[in-house]
Amino acid sequence: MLDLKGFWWKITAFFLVVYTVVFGFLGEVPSLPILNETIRNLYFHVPMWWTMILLFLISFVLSIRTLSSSSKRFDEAASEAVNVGLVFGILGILTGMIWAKYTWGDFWTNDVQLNGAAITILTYTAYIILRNSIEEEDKRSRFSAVYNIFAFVLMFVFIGVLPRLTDSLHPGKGGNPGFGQYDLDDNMRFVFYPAVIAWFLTGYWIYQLKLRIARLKHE
Amino acid sequence: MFNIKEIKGLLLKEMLLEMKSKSIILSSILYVFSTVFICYLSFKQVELSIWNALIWVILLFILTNSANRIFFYESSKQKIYLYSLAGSGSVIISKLIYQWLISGILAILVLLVWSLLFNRSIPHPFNFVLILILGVWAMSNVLTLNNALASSTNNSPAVLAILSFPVIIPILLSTIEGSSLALQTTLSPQLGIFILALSLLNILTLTLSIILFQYLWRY
Repeated sequence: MLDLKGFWWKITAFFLVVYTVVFGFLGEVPSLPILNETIRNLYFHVPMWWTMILLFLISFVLSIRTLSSSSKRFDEAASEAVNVGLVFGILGILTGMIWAKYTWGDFWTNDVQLNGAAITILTYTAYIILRNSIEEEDKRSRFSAVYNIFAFVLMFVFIGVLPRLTDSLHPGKGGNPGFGQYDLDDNMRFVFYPAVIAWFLTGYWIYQLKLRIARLKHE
Repeated sequence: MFNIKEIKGLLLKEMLLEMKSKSIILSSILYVFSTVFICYLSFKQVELSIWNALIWVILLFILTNSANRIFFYESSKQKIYLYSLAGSGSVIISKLIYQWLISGILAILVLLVWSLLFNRSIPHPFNFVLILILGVWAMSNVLTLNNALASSTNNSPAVLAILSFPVIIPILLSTIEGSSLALQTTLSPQLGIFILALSLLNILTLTLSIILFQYLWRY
């Protein structure tokens, strides 16, 4: 994947994360019933998912390139992207569970979005297990790339399309208004969008470090 | 990529092999009877919603069990010989058609034994069977590709289940929802949406299987 050169973006990531944490906890938020102060979790919970999806998207593209070029370099990168994406996915589930406890009353509710998230985590764990159970390197890179493409396309349909057919507790789904419509006021926007960029960059940074370590081990 | 003559020949080969050692198909049928009977003995009487959900759970396990044999006959030498005769498209399509046949027969059998033991009438039998067959076929498409992936690992039955279950869960959820509509006395207009969604899922999984199989069949 593209190697971001230089350290300007790492510094940006660092300052944006600091900015997010400081203003996430101290900034002004609208006081809403039920949500109250938990609305601040928006700065942490939502970017985790978006970063996960970004990393899985990177790994999907790399898997396609693995199949078209049969180079092991892409395969290694695809697997590292999945590893880092999974960490963000688990963080997303944990932050979501805490949020759900204080707003919906339970750590886990039977909600399409939650189940979709759990299924995604299961699928990518299966991907890692598939990688570990094939010993030949050539075969491993092809087979895991095939599963990655298959899983990603189906995941996209399941998470993107099916939840819209059924009810969900999440904003913007099943007749609930989206966040943006009623409470993502200008103050929050100034923290939320930097937060998304901050976590995107941080996720990409971790991914690049992991990839460099893996390549050094390989040599 | 594929031609009808090759597919016919490969299908004939599958059937001859099946006739040659009948133990595999017979064991699948016995699996159906014993699983349904165990459920009958342990539940005795069930509500409609449980009746509906349980039949799908039983089908999931029966199909996963029967999918283990899709690429079972091919030892690596046979594989090389066979694959030098036919193209990748013909191989996967013949496997898929054969699996549709087997899974369709098993699904109807499960339904017959299930409704015989629990003695429940289905208000819209045509719609119910349609959803049953569409759901079973979508699962077969997923299982066939995943079996091609799993068959070359050390522990293929377990890997097949691990790879397939997360991807199948969303299919299962929509079939359970759809078939529960077919069990209500008044025909809901939503039923058509579910039939459409299941047909689209079938087309999607089918195309993905055919496209992706060509990258792994010679390995």
